[in-house]
Amino acid sequence: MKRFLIGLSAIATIVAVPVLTEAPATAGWREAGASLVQRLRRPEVKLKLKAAKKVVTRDKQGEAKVTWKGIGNGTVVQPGDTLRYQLSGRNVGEAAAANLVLNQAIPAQMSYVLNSTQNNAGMSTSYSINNGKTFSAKPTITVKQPDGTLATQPAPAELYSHIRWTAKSGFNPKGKLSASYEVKVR
Amino acid sequence: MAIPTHSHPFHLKQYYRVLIALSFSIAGLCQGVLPALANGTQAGTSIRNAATATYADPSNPSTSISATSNEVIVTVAEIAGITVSDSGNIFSNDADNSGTVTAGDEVYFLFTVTNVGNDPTQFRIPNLATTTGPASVTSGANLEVSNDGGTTWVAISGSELITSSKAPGETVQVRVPVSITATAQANETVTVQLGNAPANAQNIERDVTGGDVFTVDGPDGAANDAEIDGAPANGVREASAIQQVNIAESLKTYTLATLLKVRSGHDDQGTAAIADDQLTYDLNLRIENSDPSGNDITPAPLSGTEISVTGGNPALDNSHSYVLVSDAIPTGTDFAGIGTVPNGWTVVYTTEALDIADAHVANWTADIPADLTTITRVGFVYDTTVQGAIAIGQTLPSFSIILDVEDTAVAPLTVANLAQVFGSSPTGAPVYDESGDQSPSNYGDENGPNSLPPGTTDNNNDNIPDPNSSLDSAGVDDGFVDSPTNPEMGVDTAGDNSGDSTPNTPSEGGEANVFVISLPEVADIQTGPTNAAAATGPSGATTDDFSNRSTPVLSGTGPGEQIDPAAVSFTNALTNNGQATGTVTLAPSTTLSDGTAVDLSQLPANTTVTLSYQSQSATYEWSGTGFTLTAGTALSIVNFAATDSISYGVEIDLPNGTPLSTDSIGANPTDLNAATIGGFALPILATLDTTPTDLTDPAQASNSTINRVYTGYLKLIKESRLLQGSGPEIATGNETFSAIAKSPATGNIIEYRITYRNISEAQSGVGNVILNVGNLVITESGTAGDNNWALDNDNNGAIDSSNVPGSASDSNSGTITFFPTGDQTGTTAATDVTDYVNTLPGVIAPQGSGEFIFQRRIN
Repeated sequence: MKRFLIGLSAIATIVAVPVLTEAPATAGWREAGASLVQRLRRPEVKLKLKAAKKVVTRDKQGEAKVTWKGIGNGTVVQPGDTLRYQLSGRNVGEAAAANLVLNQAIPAQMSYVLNSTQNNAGMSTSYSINNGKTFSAKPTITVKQPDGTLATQPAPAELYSHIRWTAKSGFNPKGKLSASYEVKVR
Repeated sequence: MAIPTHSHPFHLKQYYRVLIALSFSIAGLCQGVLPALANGTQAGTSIRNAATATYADPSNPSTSISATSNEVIVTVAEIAGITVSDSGNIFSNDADNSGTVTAGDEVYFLFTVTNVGNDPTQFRIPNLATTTGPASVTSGANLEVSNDGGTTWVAISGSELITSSKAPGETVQVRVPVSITATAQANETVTVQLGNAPANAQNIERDVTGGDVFTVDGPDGAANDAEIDGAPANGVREASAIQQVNIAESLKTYTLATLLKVRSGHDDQGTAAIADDQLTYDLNLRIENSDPSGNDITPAPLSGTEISVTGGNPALDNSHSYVLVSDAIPTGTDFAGIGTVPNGWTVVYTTEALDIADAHVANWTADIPADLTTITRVGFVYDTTVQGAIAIGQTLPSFSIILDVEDTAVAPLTVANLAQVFGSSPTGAPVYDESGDQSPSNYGDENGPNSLPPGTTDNNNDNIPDPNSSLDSAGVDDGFVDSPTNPEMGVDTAGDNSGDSTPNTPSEGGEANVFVISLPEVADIQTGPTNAAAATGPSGATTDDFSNRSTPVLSGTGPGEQIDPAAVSFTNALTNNGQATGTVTLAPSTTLSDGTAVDLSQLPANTTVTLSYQSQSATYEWSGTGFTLTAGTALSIVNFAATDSISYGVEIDLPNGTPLSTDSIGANPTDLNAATIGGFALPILATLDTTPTDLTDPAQASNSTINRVYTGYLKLIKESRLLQGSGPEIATGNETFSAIAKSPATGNIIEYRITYRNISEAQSGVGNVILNVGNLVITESGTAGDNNWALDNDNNGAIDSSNVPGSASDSNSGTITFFPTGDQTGTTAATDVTDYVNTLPGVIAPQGSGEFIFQRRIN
């Protein structure tokens, strides 16, 4: 009997111990968790730009061999050199990035090499020849012919001012993509 | 040109000439139109590049998020470059005063050495030249070098001279004193070579031999030195040139300078008023390296002349010689600003009245006046005393000038404009040219190509201006166009420096560049059905007018079947209803010209559309979401002027597997509760661009029309209901018309109802082409195909149902005829009716319908 009573009182004691401020803390943890989850569920795109210089050498048979030498900041180039800029993107967030558009302004002292754009993500490519005001997949100019009529011709490379890559679908979390194009130093 | 996808508020639209003129801005040169520097990007330039991106969180798609990459920087190396060019020859001593090169004469052979690299450099000039023929470098004499364009010469002492540092583009002149031997005979050839490059190549890596002219890199680390330290990336460069003169030939060395002017921009600031408009003009100076005048002239570089200058920081030195390019501000405009200026040139202004002094004798200042409206001429000067002469074979990058239209100007305003250049040749003969034509140094006019430039003298009759002479002001124009609407000096008709194609008077000198600023013209274009370009559609607007046509459908084709329709042709009309001329593009579109999307969800993928006009043809394929050009080139009609009107063809070929337009949408083609597929509508978009050379400016007007193809457009629905007649009660539900099977008993009556409906688009608006059903004959046969209601299916000797006389009717008063004979009733095919034929009068209009009913009593 006594043991029984002790047992009871022990139980009673335990029951009597007040609960610590667990409830508010729990709520706080849940809120932090919710907003933490919200933040992680956003897309976050990070970009990296690299450049390489085209080096043409001739082998023993006299055949031309093209290699690309990565260059770092401050590397010296000559007028007439061909460079390749490569833009990589990663989505380090946890939601897909919608409506992704990558932009490159071609530096003033460089001129674009026609048809040298590539990307590995099926993005559509468009170009501007009016400093970014309008973009088109195949820019053209209208040239007056000797007989006075106007003819539409592909725009020359020197007029290209911007390149834009537009993703056709969402850029998934953990996704990587890369786009590149070549220019000549003026 | 891409078809614009933004919407226009209405088809009729005021448009303004919105050429965005200022490709060049004072703050920074616009990327796309940077003139390529002949020398390459300045050495030491850092080229920076960073990429950007925009994207969105799918849960918040309207908010744009951006990202930027790291910056990549590359630096441009120093590369050296040198050219040596022939710059003519002049007498040092014409011993027999014959004016021709003969025995005993002494002649200077002139050469120009130019820095074509991207960094300042020095030159090494040898004190020797190689001669052939009856001549030699004058004994005891030295080669001489001029740094100031030929005004002063300094003899080389010792075996060579290393010149002072020359910036990219700068030159030195070298003259070789040559003596013609006493035994020289007529027509023998004398050559003089300066430098010693293999094959007289220009700007090659130095092949070390004696007598070379080559680049010498400046010393490193010199104070205030713009020169990049270290050796050029391409080493030492050399060049050489060789000149030839025939004995008994006269010497004709003269500078041939051609000044060119074009109007490069007109910005109307987006308003109809012209008083806020701006005009931009580009000037280019070309120093010829061959003689187009047919005068056998040896072209020489361009040196300066005496020009009165003050001001500037650093201050301009009035004692130096300058080349002057001058532009008088035309009537109705004021000077507004400068766009680009080539390297080495300084902008100068004068406020002197134009009739007081011609440009070359006016007083110029490099300090811009506070009140721009007082400026009468704007100019550019190049100091040849410091920078040397401007070498032959160069076309300088543009000088660009921006003018404001005055507040008081009234449209239409004619702006007529001429530019002038003044300088001298190394012989000291004056050089003077005006813009608007290709004649260098104002040579040649209607009197013939041999006529001298105006204002020059030719006392020795060698047909080039005399050395060491000056311009006669009576021959020099003040550069201002007195009558813009009929310029006194003639007009550069095409505005491209091709001269006056219809000269009224002989005009020495240049021709005016003329531009008329007028009030905006309305741009308007219409496209629609044949001969109804301005048709209006259901909305009341001209954007959704339509032409409907149907492909043939083979008889026996039932609901749910898919067909491979034949192609259908449309002829659409296109008219220019406005005042403005432009380039029209025509193409299929997913939207109307006002941006309204058209439902193309039923248009089968792989449908092809071919547009054609004259010899142009363009075929597009529909993917299910968009049109792709697969053959030909997009239709483009240039110079489509006001009131022009044409027809163009549209051929639509639906692919194999196209459903019938009369079928219902969805899984059940006979579902009476579902909408019908209907016609396959395809919008054709026409756009008019009145400024086709301005890529920043979208089309000014557009319109659309719909070409709609039906694969059949008369829908037939057959239903039945039961009437009790003399038979037992009929089951519930069988008494209403429906397509479900019924179970009549003997004596019951089946009432068949065939509903026929023209499902094509109703008439609306004005001018649309609709599809009426005409010559409609509906045949109901009790014996043909799967029909069996006039057959004896149970072989009891009587046909299973019999006609109920008088029951056949048509709601549109169609005439019903009975086969074999009349509206009779019986139990055999011969005595009953096996076929009912309903012939409809007139037409069933779109959305019109009718009901053809007849009854059969079950036997």
